[in-house]
Amino acid sequence: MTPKNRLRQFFFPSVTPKFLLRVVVLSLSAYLVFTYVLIPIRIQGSSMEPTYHNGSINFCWTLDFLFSRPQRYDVVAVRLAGNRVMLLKRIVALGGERVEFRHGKLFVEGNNIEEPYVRYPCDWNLLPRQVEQGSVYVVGDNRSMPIGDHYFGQASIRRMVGVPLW
Amino acid sequence: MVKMESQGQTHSPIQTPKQGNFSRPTSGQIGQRGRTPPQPRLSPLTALKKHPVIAVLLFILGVLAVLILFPSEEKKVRKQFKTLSNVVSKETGENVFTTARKAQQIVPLFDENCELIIPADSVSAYFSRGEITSYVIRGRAQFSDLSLTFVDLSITFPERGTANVVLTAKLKGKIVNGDRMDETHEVQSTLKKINRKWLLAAFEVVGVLKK
Repeated sequence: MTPKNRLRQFFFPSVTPKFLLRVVVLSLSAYLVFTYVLIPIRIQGSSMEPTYHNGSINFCWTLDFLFSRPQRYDVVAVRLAGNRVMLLKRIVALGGERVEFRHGKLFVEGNNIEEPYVRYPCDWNLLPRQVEQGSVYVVGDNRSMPIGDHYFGQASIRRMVGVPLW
Repeated sequence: MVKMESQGQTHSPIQTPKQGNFSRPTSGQIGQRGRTPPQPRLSPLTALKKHPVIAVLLFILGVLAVLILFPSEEKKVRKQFKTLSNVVSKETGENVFTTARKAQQIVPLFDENCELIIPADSVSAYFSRGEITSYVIRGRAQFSDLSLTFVDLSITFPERGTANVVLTAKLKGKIVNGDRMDETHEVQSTLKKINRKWLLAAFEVVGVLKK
C-alpha cells in the first residue's frame, strides 16, 4: 500500500464490521472512563485561588480514594446530589480532631498548622469544634473574604468523589 | 360474458380494437402473455424481513411513540421540576404578561400545604400555595434576570403516590441593584400524587458542609 493510500485509509477508513466494532469499543471505553474514572471539571468561583483559578479545566481522578483514605492537605472534590456539581476544597482536619481559626491561623488540636498554599491575607476567627468521625473538615485556599462569605465546614467522607488530576 | 378458447391457437387471443374483433380478456388471460406477471402479495412480516432498515426504523418509531404517549412516573416527576425551573427563571426585560402567566403556572405545581426546611436560615414551616406563589413572585421581582436549574435528580418511590427526589439546585441571577448571586444547594424534595398529578409537598435544603 502506497503512503498516499495508507493516509487515505487512515482518514477515510472502509466501513467494515471490524471498523464498526472498534468504534463501538472506543466509544464505550471513553464513556466509562470520562463518566466514572476521570470526570472532566470546569472550576467556577475563586474559593481555591491561587491554587486553582476560576474557569480552569481539570479532571477529577476518582480512583484516588479506592485504596486510601483522604489525608490532610488533600484537595478533594465533594459531591452534592451527584457528580455534575461538586465543591473543590482542601482537607485541613480529619475525623475526631479539634479545629479552629485564630486571627487567620489554622489550629488543629491546639497546634498551629502551616499552610503554604494560603497566599492572601486572612483574619478569620472560628471557635474550636470537633470534627465528627467519618467526616473531614474542608476549607478553600482563598480566605481573603469575610468568614461568613466562604462556604466551608465538615463533610462526610462518603461525599469525597476524588482529587483533581493536577 | 365473452368466452375465448386458447387451446390450439397459435396467436394471441387478445386482439386490439384496430383488428375489429375486440373483446375483453378474461381475468385468467391477463398477465399470461405480453404483460408482466403479477407480483405475489408479501405478508407484512416477509416485507419487513426483506427490508431490515425499514423494520429497524419502524421499531425505533414505535418505541419513541410509546415513550412519548405513555411517560413513566419518573418522567412525570422530572417534568414538574422542569416546569418549576421555567416558571421561576426570568429573562432580562420580562414583560408583565409573562410575569402574570408564570405566576399562574406556579400555583398548580404545589400541594395545598408545602413544607419548607432551610436549616442554615432556621426556617422550618408549612406554607400554603398562595404563600408560596407570593413568595416566589416577590423573590423574582428582586432580580433583573434569574435562572433556576435542577441537576443530578435521583428519584425514588418509597410508597405508592409518593416520590422522594434528591437533586442539586443552582440559582444564578443578577439582583436589580447590580449584585450577582450564584448559589448551589443539595435539596431533598417530596412529591405527592394527587388527582394524577405530582405536586411538590416538601423541600429541604441539605447542608453539605457544616461549620
